[in-house]
Amino acid sequence: MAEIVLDVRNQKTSFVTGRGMLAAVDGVSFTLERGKTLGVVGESGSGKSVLSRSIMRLLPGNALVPADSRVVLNGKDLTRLDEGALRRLRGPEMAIVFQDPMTSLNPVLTIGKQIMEVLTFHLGMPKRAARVRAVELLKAVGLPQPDVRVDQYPHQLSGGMRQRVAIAIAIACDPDLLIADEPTTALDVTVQAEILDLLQRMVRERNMAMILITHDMGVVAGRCDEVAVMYAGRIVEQAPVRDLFRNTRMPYTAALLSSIPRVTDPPHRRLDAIEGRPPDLINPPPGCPFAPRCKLADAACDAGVPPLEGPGRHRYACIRPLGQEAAA
Amino acid sequence: MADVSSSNRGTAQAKPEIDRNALAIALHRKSRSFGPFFWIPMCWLILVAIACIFAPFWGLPPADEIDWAYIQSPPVEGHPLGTDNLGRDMLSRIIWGGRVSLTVGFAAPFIGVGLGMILGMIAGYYRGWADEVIGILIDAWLAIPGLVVLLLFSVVFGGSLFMVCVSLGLLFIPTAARITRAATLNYSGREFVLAAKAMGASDFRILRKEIFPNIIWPLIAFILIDIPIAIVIEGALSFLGLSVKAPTPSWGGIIAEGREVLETMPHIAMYPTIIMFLTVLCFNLVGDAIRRRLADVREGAI
Amino acid sequence: MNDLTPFLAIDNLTVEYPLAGGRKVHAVTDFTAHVRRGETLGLVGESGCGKSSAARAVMQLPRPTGGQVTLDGQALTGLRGQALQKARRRFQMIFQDPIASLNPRMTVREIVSAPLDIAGIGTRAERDERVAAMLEKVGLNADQAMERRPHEFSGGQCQRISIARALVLEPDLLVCDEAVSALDVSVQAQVLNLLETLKRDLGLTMLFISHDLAVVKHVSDRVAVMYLGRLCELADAETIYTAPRHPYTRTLLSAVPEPDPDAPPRAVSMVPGELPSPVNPPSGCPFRTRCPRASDTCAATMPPLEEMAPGQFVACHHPHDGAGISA
Repeated sequence: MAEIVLDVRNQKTSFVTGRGMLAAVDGVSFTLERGKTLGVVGESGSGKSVLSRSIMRLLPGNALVPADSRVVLNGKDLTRLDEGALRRLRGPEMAIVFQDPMTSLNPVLTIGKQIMEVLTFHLGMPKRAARVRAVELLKAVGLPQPDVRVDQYPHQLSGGMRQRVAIAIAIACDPDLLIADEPTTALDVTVQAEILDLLQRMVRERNMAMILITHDMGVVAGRCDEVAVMYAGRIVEQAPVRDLFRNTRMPYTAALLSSIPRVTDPPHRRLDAIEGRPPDLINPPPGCPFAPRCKLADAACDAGVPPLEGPGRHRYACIRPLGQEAAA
Repeated sequence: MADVSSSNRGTAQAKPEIDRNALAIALHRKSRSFGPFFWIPMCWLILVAIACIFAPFWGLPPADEIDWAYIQSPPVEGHPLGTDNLGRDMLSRIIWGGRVSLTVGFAAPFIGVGLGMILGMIAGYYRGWADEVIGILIDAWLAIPGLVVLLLFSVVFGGSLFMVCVSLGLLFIPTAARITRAATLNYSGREFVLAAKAMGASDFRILRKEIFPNIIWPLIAFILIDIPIAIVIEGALSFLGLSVKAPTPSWGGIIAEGREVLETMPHIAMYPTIIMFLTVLCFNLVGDAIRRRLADVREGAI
Repeated sequence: MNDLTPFLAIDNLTVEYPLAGGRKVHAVTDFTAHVRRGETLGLVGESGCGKSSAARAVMQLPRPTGGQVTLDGQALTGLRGQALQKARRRFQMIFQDPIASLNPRMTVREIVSAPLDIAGIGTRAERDERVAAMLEKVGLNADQAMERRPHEFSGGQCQRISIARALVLEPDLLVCDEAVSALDVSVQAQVLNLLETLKRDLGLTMLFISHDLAVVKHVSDRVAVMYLGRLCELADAETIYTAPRHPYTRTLLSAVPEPDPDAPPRAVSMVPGELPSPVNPPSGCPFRTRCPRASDTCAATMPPLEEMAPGQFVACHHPHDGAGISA
């Protein structure tokens, strides 16, 4: 039985807006084991980024989280901790890599200083040792000439190198949980492949748990153990990666997969677009959030929100799942 | 057990679902609405504005009419704020003086921002040598002390209200031009401007239809800051006798006259001072409240 | 219509941006491509490869530093002032950011009728009629959309408005600069399908720029691959994906993550390092610093663009033999 690093139970995050309460994350539960990577896939507005910030407890002031939401990291309930205690956990136990390294790095500090800051704050390392460790970390993330780069500023590095530095900062204190929030969206494909390889290697070498958040099904396919598909603030299907792609149950996942243009398709193939648009999160539909756009939906789908359940590790929130004919 | 520690937050969340949205909307509205610090000053400004604009209709004695029966009088019947050292009705003088202050307060920023906007749009849109030349002109203009400009205008054009507005307006040009240039630079790089160019739109059309409606909001915010500044500077100029000529009343001028008899008749200097203080304070409060709302407008929310 | 004469001819296009100190950014260098009427040419490459600069140079926004752009026999690069403004009706553009490319202060009616207004076409009522018809054509409800402003629409809808604006003058050439890159996959599929339908119905010729190879393959008849301002390979869409000859094309293709957990992991065959600066590009072939096949010849001379198979043009001293891609 592998050790469970993260246990998220009924996480709900809402925002106060001028039109009402916007439920960005609406009852998400999952567990994550050490050494495993969970891919979270969703389109914009699906709540995947708010989920990552809810786990890190990095939410803006107008966010509301009900008292029964739980985020348990290494047995510690983060919802009960104050800001000071959380700050001591961010780094040694959990860390996050953001989409845009240009905005997550401080432009007026050298990258060496930014890594050393983390090391001295959390591990109490003396300055000289921290600098040596910083160079080691930069070397570990594959930054060329780490002993020269350590004294450079973020603007002197390319986008890919900056993301490597952001990863170096994130892993500096050996966190148990690494959240990568669209880490390659701002990068070119060739650089993307390198960064994803790097993240995968770090998870393996350091035996971390990783949540890889992305909008790109191609990114999760080769890099994750398990994939959770989010829609309208909920996980609508979660399964080991092969099951999700080969044995898709939730019609939304299937529709999403078939709307992706692939390099292996013949030119001018008409894409299977999902008509309509995602539901309004302030006044969500009464039943399944995908029902209004779903080709298989019937009256029963509007009756209530289907729970996320299923056999084994393959769970889906659907009362008219695909592939049932075969099972019967 | 676990739920006890968070029972406070629990009860706050326990409200029925339907209430949730209504509550959120109310909360959001409250955070954005104009409070009493907007409405009370606004009422005062409206009162001052109505009093000044319709000054001829209040049946006040003319501002330069001397009442020989009451010279340097404290408030009495017929002169609710008393008379000054020449026996002129204080209320009438303050209201007529307010016309000068408000005229300068509004005209000067509009002249300055209007001219500055044209320069700033040209510099920001065309860049290149036009930007360089305008930049140098503005730097040169800033090198001349504002007081020298004001004194020069008052010496040359002596006491014309229009020229007071122009001279003050000129002082607002550099900042207005810089704000406009920065905003224009930002918007002229946007894709919708490129799209307009791709349609074959003329530069004039792009400046008028694509850029102007977007940069007008920061400039309105700037005008709101400038109005009280202009009123204060005009007051200072009048106090020094460099604004409108003597028989025409102005707040600064009345304060200056009252200064001579400050020990015996403090009310003469006090009333216009209080009114000017309140008006400027109210303009600042109202301006701040509006500028906070304009920030939302600029983000396209309204 | 002669099929052999190109409808859009881009010849020896060069775009340079001056920097302080007399240096220059070589955004596009000596780019040549011909597009037939009704054809879609895809232009792919990574950021900084000059594909957007090339698109803007075709649009004369601004005029390219060197080379010629000819549309239907008319040399656009030679046009000035009024003549160019008038010619602009025939070629229009869609931009990447669906929200930034619409003026937030205008209503949809004003936005879409602006091209007609500028061209001085029709009365107000006639223009409104055309705008309404165009909005319906791009899949928007004209009655509901006309008086609204861009922020009331989603990204996909904003891109539809952009498309309506670009097509309301019935242009012949549509340049799409990363037109679907900012959209979610499901919305992206809607917009791509819409573009394909409109292209067929209106007989458009398209120049489709994107960093996404899969998207380009879906819309293009032929594809051009660019690296550091230069054309590497130009071939029909099927060939370039199944039998690429330029090492860079292969690198790019192998890096595309496939939405399939059983797809064999492909090694990205590229020498580790960084993209060279376009201010100071390498001598000879620009890809040689990262190319696994580079030799001394590559540093000495820029390989010319040669037709290595029918319709497949490659600029490489050591091309692959045209066999399919494998690991």
